[in-house]
Amino acid sequence: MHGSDKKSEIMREQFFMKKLKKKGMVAFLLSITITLFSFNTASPQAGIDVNAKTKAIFIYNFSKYVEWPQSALSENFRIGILGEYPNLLKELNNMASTKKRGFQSFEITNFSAVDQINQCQILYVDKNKSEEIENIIKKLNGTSTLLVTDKEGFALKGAAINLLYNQNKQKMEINTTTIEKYNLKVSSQLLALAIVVN
Amino acid sequence: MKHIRFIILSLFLFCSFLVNGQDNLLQEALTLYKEGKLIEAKAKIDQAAGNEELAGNINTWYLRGFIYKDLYKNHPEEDVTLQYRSESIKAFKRLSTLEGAEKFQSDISKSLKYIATTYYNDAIRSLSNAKFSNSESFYDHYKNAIVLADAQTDLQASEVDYYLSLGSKYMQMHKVDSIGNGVYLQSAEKSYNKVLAIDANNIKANYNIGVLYYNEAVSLISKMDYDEFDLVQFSSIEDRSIELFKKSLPFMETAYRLDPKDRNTIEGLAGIYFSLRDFDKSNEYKAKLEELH
Repeated sequence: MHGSDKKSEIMREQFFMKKLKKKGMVAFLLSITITLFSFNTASPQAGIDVNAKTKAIFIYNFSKYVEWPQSALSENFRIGILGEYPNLLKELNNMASTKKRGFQSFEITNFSAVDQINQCQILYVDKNKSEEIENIIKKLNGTSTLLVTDKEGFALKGAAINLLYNQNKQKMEINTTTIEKYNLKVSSQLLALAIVVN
Repeated sequence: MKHIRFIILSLFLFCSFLVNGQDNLLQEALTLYKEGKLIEAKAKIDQAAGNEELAGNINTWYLRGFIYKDLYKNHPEEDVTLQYRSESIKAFKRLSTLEGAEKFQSDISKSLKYIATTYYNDAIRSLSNAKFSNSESFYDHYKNAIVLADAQTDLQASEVDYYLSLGSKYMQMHKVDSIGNGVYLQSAEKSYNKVLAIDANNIKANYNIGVLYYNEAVSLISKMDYDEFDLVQFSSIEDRSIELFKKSLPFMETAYRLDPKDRNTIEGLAGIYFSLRDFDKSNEYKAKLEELH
């Protein structure tokens, strides 16, 4: 009996030590948990404007599917933006840094006023500048610039292509009469995707 | 009281040894265990567990449970291959099924809770590593052990916390996943859905799953190479992107309903509506954001 008591005492000590360690483990558990859970909120992708990227894709495709008269082409393929649309400017510059149109490099220019517009193959007019459409048309008279607007009804107000949204999607209207007036040719593939207006 | 219980156990063990020669194995295992010779004690107790007669003895499984638990404590690095903790759990589980085990219930429960805690720690610690594939397995072990310790344990809170963390880990991995096969994203979605199955009104899960779909929708468009698709193909990508923005919306709206002052959620909603080209709604949320200033 005396020997058993001694053994029990040893066991008791062992279990006491275990208990102490257990307490330490619980504290450890809490500390890890608190640290991790402060990071468990996801974050949305910042600084990406899908609408601007979409418009840039459309404009890039216009450069592929529209034909300009030889006389209207310059060393670089020039795309102008009239108005303040920094995200579109950024996307087009990104595109221009990696893509070419045949042997032509892309050159992107931002115009803040109508009188700054100079020769370009595509002119995109931000909706905030749409009210100046008459002056824009006068400025482009005699050129072969593809005028792209971004406001409802503007395909009938002088734009060759007007961008619009329909059922959440980016769509385009093409005015074939205006296209012809500017001596441009639109491929049948592009026409097939567009709402044709005259 | 607890100390008395261990004295009783010890006496009980030794009284058993005296009446049965077969129990030499148990006596040897106990002696080696007390001397700290755990590997040798393990060999003896494994032998006892394989013995037809001793396999029905509650002392075999009680001692085996403790030997394996201490083996883990002394050599946690060997647990991956030698499965000390799971063997300890098995022993305590077996013990619980034997007649007379009730008197050890408190000890069994404490030991199982200790093992459960170590598994939980491993599950959480794994999430900090690049290789975290075993985290969920550790968490499952934790659940099994804690429920064995106390069948009444409410796991909902730890389930929610763990799967929110796991979901966020998968989201982080998706961000840096150069292969881009979307496996991490699917796993994140699965984790958040586990949280929502427990608590449909969990703000973080709703917000995070909303962000998940939103980011995926944005990525579809933002990662497009200009020459990769023509406009016909672009149209189908855009359809998929819109579908994801729409999928994101109800989760973000739920998060907003639950916490209308959260700036991130309001920004998220403004972003979703902007991407769905509902500019009036987007501006509405932008105005709400301004109001919070």
